[in-house]
Amino acid sequence: MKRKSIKRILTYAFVILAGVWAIFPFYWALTTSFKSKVDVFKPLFIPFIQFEPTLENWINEAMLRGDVIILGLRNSIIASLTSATLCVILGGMAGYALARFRFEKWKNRDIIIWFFSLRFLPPIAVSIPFFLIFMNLGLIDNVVSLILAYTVFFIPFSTLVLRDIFKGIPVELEESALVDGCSRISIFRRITLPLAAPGLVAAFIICFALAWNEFLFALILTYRNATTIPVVIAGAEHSQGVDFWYICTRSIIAITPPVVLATIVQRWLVTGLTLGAVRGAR
Amino acid sequence: MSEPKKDSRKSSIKDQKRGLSRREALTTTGKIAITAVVTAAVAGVGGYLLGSAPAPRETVTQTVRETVTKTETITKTITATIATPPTTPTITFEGATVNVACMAGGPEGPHSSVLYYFKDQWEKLTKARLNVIEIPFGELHEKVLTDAVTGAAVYDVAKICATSLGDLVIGGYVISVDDYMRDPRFPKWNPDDVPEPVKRCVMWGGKWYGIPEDCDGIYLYYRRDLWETPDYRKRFKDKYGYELPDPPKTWDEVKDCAEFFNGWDWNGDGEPEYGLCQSLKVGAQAWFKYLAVAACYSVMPGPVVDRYHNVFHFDPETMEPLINTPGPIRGLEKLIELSKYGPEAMLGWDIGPSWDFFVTKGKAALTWDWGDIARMAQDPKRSVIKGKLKAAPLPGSFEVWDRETKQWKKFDKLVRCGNILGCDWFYVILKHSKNKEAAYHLCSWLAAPEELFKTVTVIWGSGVDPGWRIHFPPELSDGWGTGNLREWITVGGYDENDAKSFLRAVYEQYFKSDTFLEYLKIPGAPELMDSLDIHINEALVGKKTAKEALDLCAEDWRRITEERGREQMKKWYQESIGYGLPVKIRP
Amino acid sequence: MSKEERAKYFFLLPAVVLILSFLIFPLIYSAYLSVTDWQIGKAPEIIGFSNYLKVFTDRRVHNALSFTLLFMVFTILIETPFALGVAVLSQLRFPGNTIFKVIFTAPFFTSPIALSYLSITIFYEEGGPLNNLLKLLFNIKIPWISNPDYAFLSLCLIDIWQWTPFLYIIFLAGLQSLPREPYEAATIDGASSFQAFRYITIPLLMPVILTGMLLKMIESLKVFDIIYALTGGGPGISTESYTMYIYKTGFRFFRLGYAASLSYILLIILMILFTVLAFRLRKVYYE
Repeated sequence: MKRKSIKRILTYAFVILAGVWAIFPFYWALTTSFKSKVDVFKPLFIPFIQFEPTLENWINEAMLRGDVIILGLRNSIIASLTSATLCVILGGMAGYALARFRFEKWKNRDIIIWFFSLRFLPPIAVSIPFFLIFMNLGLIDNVVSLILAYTVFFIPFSTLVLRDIFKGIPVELEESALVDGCSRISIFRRITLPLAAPGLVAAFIICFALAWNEFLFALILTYRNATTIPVVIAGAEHSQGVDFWYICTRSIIAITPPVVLATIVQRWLVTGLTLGAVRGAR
Repeated sequence: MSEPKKDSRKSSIKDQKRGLSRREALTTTGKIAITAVVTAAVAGVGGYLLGSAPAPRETVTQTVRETVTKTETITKTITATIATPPTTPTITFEGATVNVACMAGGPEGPHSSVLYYFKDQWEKLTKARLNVIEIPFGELHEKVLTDAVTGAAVYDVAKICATSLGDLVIGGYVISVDDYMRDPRFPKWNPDDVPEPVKRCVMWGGKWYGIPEDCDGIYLYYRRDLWETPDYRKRFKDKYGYELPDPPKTWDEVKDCAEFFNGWDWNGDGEPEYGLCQSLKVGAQAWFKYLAVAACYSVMPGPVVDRYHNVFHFDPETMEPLINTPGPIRGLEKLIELSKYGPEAMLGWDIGPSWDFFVTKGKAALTWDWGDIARMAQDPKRSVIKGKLKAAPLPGSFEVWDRETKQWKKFDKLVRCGNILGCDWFYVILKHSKNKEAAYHLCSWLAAPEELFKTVTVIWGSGVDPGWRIHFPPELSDGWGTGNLREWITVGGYDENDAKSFLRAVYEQYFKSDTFLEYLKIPGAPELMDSLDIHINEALVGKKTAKEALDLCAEDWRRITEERGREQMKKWYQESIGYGLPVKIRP
Repeated sequence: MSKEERAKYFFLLPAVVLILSFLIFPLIYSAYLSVTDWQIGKAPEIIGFSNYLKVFTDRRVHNALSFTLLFMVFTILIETPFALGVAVLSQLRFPGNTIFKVIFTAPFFTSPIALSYLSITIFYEEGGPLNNLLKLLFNIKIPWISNPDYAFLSLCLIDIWQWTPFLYIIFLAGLQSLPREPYEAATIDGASSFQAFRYITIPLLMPVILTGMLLKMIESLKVFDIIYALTGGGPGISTESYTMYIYKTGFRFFRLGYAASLSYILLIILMILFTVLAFRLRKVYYE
């Protein structure tokens, strides 16, 4: 009994510490956004007790930059949701192919390395050529160019992660359906995908987050209409220094949609039906 | 026996799974769609509540005008007191759109606020449209260059830092505005109203490429309340044997002052204060602050920009780097020494924390920095030193390294190298622009005296520093200026003593120095300055001595020059500094 | 083509075609740039492989590489066990489990740019929150930014904070797909949870762990955003990462040819490393 409760206490302690660790910078950003400018570089943690909170930063943001921030949010949401969805669909399909099929011409292993290698390239190396491509397609300062760029760059994540997930799903389940005469596509849709729900969600979250925070392409490929949140955040630095208070307000604004998304989809990181139960029932 | 069981179990599981999958899929899609819709709705509602896009800007201009309550009457007074040249009949540009690329600052932030403030007025005047396209500060150079190089050609005007000018001129991406300046159809601005070094910043090879606005200079700032405390003056005199210099005239005097005020509590907050503070972080502005110290030992005054006079970076005849000659080396040694009298953290400070330390916390006795400090010190929400600020031109030296005779040349009088310039933000017109005339009209209109005065006083966040004739009250500028001190106080919100001290310092620095530091604008300037920046930092953190660091820097500079073609670089350098042209500092 | 073949390509090709169509031109263009010397105002002129040769003698490249590699190793060694531990703990039922999952995932959604700026205030040495706490507890003041070694540590801390959730998400998903029977068998045999973890979880989860680690290691080789605002590569060049040097060379100095060659060298090094690694990892990746 004692051992169990010690373990329990340790677990709780670790969880609490991890939670504090994860949340502290957000807490700091939130409180700093309510500080007046003189207090930004002071170690003041608790509002009302250690410092006088003020709404002035938020009001200024809303009045002066409200339209830009909302535009940035809108573009970021569109670009990230769309590219993440495309990544999961296309990447899921590719990952499935690499998990289930054997490629003769180029070995699976080589294709997998090729997907990894796409991540080797620093975005900087391709930014000017990308600019040229999209300029010729007439897509500069258009969200579509961002969607395409992000999908192309983040597909490797979804492909590789989902490949592992699909590998973990026992082949027998699919094979028996195959024997019954189902097409590959319907097996994929009806058997594999539901079982891979946690993986799909994980891949979606990752691709979404990467697209949401992507800065370089957003900077290069947009001028004004397609500006995204990271560019708006970077706009808080100017020749007179950094407006840390606006960094904080914008960070809080920028983190809200992803957190809302994560809250909604996190339940699918755990499926009700685990493979073990299926196996065990046989 | 097992087969049917398996089948039935399988099919029931299949049904379960199928049913589950359809439902799950629908709900998942539904949930995601709902998230998107809700977020969009919130965004939409928020947008609606904030009003449509134009409204916030109008509200802002309104607020700006309202907060400075006396603006309307003051404007009339200004117009009356300023001797403006006769107004030219305005030409209109019906239907033209001018896209201006400038630093992201919003309607009240540095440099973009100028455009937002005057946007409506100019649009009404010319019937053209002004589009402000903001770029994050750190990426301005890259975006403007990419836009020009790739032929995307979106920007008509760019408000750039002088470092970018070389690349733009050499690449043929900007036009010279000499002809427009002579054209009677456009608003006239007087080039002689501009300080000499600012002129040279926007010129190339004797031609005008930019329309100046900002006069970014570094000045010495120190605490009036400390300097005027008799007890401290007495203790200083006892310790160092001479009167507390007010203002400090050489960097050695600055060092004494910084040393004296370092490490004890002189503002009564219970904690020790520091002698000075500075922003010495790499990749930020440390190299400006270094140049401010090194210039007076390195730049030899003379009537003409020739091989041995009025140059700092390279030998104009051989393109040999001069960064490791004894003048700059002494400058770095002095800087290293000075850095001991401030908080250790300042080696990692950009201007934000450094300004905060001097102005908001008031924990440093002196610093040398941009004109923005004077402005920031007047903001009661961010400053504890309003009314306690004294400014002075940068310290000079009695000795300048003479490269001709290879010795230190001694002077009887203090030699000041004024005008350590910052980016000196100015407008250039891009060659691919389809609305060049409208663009030039905008820039020259913004350079009219009335607008210029408003830019530094009414627009609190403009980030533009004074330096034009219209900015100086005549009593502080030996009768030359055409500005008005009262307006600085009432409209600009300056404390009277601070304003007097600051404006006098600016005037002396720009117009009464003996020489000036030329701004490095040649292609490759960012790379050269990056190398200097890194090596200075290594010397400051103690990894190298001053001489070692600057020798390595000179090696880098040599390599960069060779890579880009020594003869070519020499030609560009000569053009950029106005080689052979006479120097005229006095107004 | 058989139905099977068609299905194979149907699944794989859309992703591959999309990627190739957008990346072929940039890759070729970059390769072309890497053998040119392109200066402003002139057309690029081909200079052969001298850009590549220059890389070998460039002191800043060596510095950037060593910093980046050290950074990669340090961060992955801490992040993997951390993420794994938290992922396993998240399987337990405790009040606030859901909220905890969201909280722990949130750092990954933070914009690295914003994080870098925010860190300036957090790591502020003259009285920021961290140093304030340290002063209260241990009476020390750490030079988080102005000292090269501590600057390295600060950047690692930021990276750990931001990327542990990445591994955490992947490991969580992976843990969900593990079969339950080995665990049931282990409980019957009387194994402790730690033994179960060591002998069941880790081997079964290894492919996922490896993929996650590899992906993260590749990402850390490209670290840039968090360094940019916090230290700018300093003090000196002690925290200048490889990608930062490429960025400066390409965009600040506009030496696009040299920047392209730097990027390609990174690509080549990694391809070699990977092929070697993959040979040893074929057990895991060979189907």
